Amino acid sequence: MIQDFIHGTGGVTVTKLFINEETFRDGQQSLWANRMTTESMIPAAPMMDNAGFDSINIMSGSAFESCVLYLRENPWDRLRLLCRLMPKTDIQILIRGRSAFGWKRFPNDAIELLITCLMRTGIQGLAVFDGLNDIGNLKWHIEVAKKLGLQIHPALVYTLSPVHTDEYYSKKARECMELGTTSVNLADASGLLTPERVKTLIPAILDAIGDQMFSFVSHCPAGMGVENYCEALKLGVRNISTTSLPLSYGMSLPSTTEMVYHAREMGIEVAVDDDLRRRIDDYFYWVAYKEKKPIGQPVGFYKELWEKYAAHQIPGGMMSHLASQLKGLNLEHRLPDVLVEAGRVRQELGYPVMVTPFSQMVGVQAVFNVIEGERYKSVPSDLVLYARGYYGESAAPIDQNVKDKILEKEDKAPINPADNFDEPMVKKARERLGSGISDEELLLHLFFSKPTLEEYNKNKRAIPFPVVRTPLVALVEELSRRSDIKSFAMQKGTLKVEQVF
Amino acid sequence: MKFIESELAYKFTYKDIVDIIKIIDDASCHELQIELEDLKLKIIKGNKHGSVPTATSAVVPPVHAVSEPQNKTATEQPVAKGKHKPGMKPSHSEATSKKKKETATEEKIEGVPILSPLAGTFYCAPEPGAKPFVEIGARVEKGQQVGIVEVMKLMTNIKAPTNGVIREIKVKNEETVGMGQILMTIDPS
Repeated sequence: MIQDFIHGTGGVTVTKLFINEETFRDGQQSLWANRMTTESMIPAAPMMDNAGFDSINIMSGSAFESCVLYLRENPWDRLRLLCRLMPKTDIQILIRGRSAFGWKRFPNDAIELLITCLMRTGIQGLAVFDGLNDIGNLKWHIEVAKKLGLQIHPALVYTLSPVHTDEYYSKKARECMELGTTSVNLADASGLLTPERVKTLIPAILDAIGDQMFSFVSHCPAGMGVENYCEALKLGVRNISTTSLPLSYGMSLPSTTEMVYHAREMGIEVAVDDDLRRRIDDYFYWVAYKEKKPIGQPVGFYKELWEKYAAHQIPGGMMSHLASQLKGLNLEHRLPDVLVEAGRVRQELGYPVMVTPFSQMVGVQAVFNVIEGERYKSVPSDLVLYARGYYGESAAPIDQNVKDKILEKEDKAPINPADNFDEPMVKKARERLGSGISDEELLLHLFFSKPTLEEYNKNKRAIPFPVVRTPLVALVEELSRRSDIKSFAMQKGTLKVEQVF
Repeated sequence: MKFIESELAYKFTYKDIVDIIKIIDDASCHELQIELEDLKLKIIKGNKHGSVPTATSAVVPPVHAVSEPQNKTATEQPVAKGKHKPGMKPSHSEATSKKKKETATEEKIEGVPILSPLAGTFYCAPEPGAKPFVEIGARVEKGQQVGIVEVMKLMTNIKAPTNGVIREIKVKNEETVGMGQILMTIDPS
């Protein structure tokens, strides 16, 4: 079914493909555990800014966390720097619903201060999502973004379950639209979506939102990302997210390079500058080499693997963590049991989307259930809160027997997820930390524990300005550094280098 | 993938040099010549002291490769792949973790043990710097919280299995604990 008009710029008929570039956000989050340094980003930023992308997403909560915990660089500095280096393109940031850049659920004032500080760094748009697709958790973000004049792009997270029907998503999409958002986004975060489902799901959403701008994100772990995009393009979708070639595929998104190729084959106009696109791809090969990071590899679609994955939906990053937990206990052989159990726990909990924090709840509970031999004997306290309604409305009701078991020795009173929204958290923090503290520092105190921040402040480094070498110079430098090379001679054009050690 | 083949063919890219470096690093030959478009590269391998490279020279420091008999180097190779050099004593952390394991299995337990349900990080207090949930000698009731074990940022409350008095606290705050490891013992009453 081809739509009567092309979705992309709010109902205006366009044949152009709109691309949201995700190398700094989704690409490095999916493949490099958010360990790309700002230093490595800087040389690519001007190229990206001039390449003709419609927006560039540069950070999420977990990248923010990675800056503080591992890279020891000031995440606010990264934001300011990248915004300054990319003045032509709309810059976006992804916020994880009520937990924002932290872990617990934050009240309105903290969310507002965060969005305000993000705006001050120079960004133009916010992408937001909630793991339960409970739009009530995003209302405030939308309101604040609109008040501050930022674009706001809520994403509905795709998952496969008996309750996540086309009707479910169209209803949620309409809810978003009615809040006056810039666009409505469908995010296939786990790569479970198939072209067959795209054919019914996307038209249902498009019907529900009419002229509203629609954008689509699909991941590659099951080998379907590219085909899903192609199917969506056929349906008239014109907004997709892609990454530079070395940071595509695997757990990540389809590459810009491949999607540009497919779009042109379909006769869709693409405004991306091919020379810069190649240079960006090429540059990240060098970053991957220098930072010893993997290159994303395309995987094929295998029905049996997809079915197994669909049954538990444990994300790849967490799978390795579960496996190592079990290995540490000499229980590696129980991993298949844990995965089966995870599927069951997820069902009993009302099919939460397997993203932070719900994937951890399901995964950890499945491990508890398997190794303790009694289901729900030990329960993480976050799951107790979930059962009491703290995180919002689950897609399906929680199995009553399971709920009884989880809350057996606990306070059973339901918690209204909006209960703490009016708590004056920022005011209290300012009183505690002193009025001299900057907004950015105050937010760090809200998102991170005191020992974490002490470590960070002790070890944080200024972002070094990178020395950019041409490929040729980089090669000479690498060769000079090798201890097993006695001599080398190089000739390129009029350049001759000979070195004997 | 059809679309990629012609893509990175512009002159002399970073990807080219990453590939060239890989070829050079993996090569076990003595001399190597590479030509790519107008680039000509000739490499003579061998370490800076002049000896011809061997397959292991990249992994094992030259001093060891020369001074140690061949068979010994071979048997020690799995160790060389790890963080420390061949012949070094096991690292401090390895030694202590081994010791920890031994004491955990050999020691006799008095009182009722409180076990960790999973491998994770133990916390003695509800938040950093706060008063611990319990101290030695504290009277606790069955079901009372005595600590927290964190796994993947999920906090699981550890509760007293019985009424009694805390006899011993066997782990420190923020210590990594294993599944089934004894966190505390209680004298039941």
